Amino acid sequence: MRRIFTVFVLALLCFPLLWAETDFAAILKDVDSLSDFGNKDYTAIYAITTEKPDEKPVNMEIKLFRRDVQDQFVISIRKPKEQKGQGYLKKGDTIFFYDPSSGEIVPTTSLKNVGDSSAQNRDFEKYTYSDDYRIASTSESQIGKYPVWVIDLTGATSKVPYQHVKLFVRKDNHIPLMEEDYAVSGGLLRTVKFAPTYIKIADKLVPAKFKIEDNFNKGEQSLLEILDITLTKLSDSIFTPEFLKMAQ
Amino acid sequence: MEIVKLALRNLLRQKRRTVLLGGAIAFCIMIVTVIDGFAGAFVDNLNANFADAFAGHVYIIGKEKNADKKIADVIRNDAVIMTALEDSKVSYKYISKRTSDDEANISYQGRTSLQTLTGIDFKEEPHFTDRVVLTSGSKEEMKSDPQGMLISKQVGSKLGVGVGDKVAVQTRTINGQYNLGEFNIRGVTTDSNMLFTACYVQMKYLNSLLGLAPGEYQSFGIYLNNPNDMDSAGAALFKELSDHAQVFPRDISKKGTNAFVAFLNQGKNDTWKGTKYQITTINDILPQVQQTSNILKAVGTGMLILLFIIIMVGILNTFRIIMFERIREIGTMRALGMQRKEVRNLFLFEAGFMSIVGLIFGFLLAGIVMLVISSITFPPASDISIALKAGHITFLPSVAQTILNILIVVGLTLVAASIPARNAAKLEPAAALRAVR
Repeated sequence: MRRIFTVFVLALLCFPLLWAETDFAAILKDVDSLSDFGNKDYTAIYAITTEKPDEKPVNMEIKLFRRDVQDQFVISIRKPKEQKGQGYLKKGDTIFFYDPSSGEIVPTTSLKNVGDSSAQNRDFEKYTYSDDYRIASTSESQIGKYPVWVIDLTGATSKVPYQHVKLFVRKDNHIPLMEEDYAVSGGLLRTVKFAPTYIKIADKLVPAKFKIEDNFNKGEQSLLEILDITLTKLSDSIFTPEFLKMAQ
Repeated sequence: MEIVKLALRNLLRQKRRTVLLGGAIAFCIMIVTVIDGFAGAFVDNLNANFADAFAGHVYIIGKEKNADKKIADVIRNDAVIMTALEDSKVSYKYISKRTSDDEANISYQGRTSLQTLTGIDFKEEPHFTDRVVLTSGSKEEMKSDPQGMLISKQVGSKLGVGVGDKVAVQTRTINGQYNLGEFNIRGVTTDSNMLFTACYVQMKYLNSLLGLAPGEYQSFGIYLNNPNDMDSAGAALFKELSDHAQVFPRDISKKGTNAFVAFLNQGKNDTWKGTKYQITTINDILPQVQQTSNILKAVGTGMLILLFIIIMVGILNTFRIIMFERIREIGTMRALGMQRKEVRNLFLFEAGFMSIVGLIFGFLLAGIVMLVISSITFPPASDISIALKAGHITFLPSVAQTILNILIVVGLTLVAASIPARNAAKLEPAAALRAVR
């Protein structure tokens, strides 16, 4: 009798917990925080392998310098030889592209692909889902052995390139495993899959590998792998057109 | 009159010399006429091709800036434009309304192509439907299919599509967001040039993909009756529209900056509410078109003068020789009563007639050369297609330039012949008769 009573009381106590709402806004903030290094400067080297149908895979290596507190970044392409020296500089809302063959720095956008890869400039910026999107709906699913929250997002501003985004976030640590980017009309345009292997930096777990699949240009995809990552103070001169021209 | 007959007879006496000198003049005038003709047609063809590509000689684009500082091209209500057009009294053939996405990604069975998608209201613009040439498909089916597409032959080949196929298209809204659509190929066109290869679709459906409401569009084009009026038309429209709406300044050129880039970037650093209009013409964004033509014409004239200075040396020496050859003849004529002035004129008439014969043959040769060159057909998207007319180089020599060239040739010939002519006139009859050749 006592045992039954104890179980009953415990169940009553747990009852509210079972019905407690998951704070998805907080989960989104957690996702954003994974790539937010505050006032620290971020440097990383990425290896990008791009595959396209009927073409040989292309290997690219880029170096990324990022200063989130001033919303700046520099991407310098180091390989292949044909694209060595090309780069991107973001200052504020404007992104510039430099090509040593023309010697000119011209404006571009965050949606432009880096080299011939499926990765866009915005893929190297910090996440801003909690600012740029509203949660439309949520559900649960499973990716491999990981239970995930599926968070359906709708763009909160016209700044966002994909009006609808579906984020698949691990329930245990709120790290995204997959992102599906949709057009305004609802068609799937892009899928980003994050491998559950991580690099720990400044108490954050950063996915070491992720794959970007182009769902419009079927068969095109890029696999990105972080080769090196550091948080050391960078010189201000790095975020200048002059550095972009010199960076090799 | 006798002098004229004598001059003509003298020219025929030394046929080879006359042919050689006249031939040199003919060659010179042929080169210059062909260059002048090309320069004249160059501007016309360029203007015509740009007018076709951008749907007009004068363009009005509406721009809005949203809270995120993004500029969107949109004309939501064109009543103010129509009023300004009427008040400006610009003489035009027709107007065009266009929506476009210049980075639309068209996909078909794994093949993709980045193209400009241009939305047209086919029922409202019969002039477009009349102009476009289809190699296959049907204009009627295109008009009746809301999701129809006219694709250029070049793009169709690249994608491997034909009439009846369905293509997927990735576009972006006016706010830069990605969108997806589907189109049915209703026709394959020959339309393409170096500027871009446009695919034409129904404006209503494209508007829905770009986030524009039905009836809205992005650029308003005016086809003038006379393209040479584009500067005055642009100025008149600017004046009328400025009285009723916000308008960007037309003088966008700054030292060291490309006019076309300045046109594309206009408004980036400004803030405004509502729609602000940008009025421009081909001459505004491509001032180098007219400059190129002027340079070509100047080069032609320069070449003419340079070549002719060389020919002048030949004429001078030839007439000197003629003078020495005919020294006794001159003495005889002087002894028979011919005055100095008449001797001088005889030489000058000879030179003049030779230059005229050279001119006539030069123009004939130029005509043949221009005919041959203009019969060559260039592929639609060749590097020089923007300067061609229906795939052919055309020529349009200007009357003023031709008259100038004639005056230069005749003038310089007479100048060259004037020295030996004067010397011949100065000869004393007795001394001339005694001269030994």
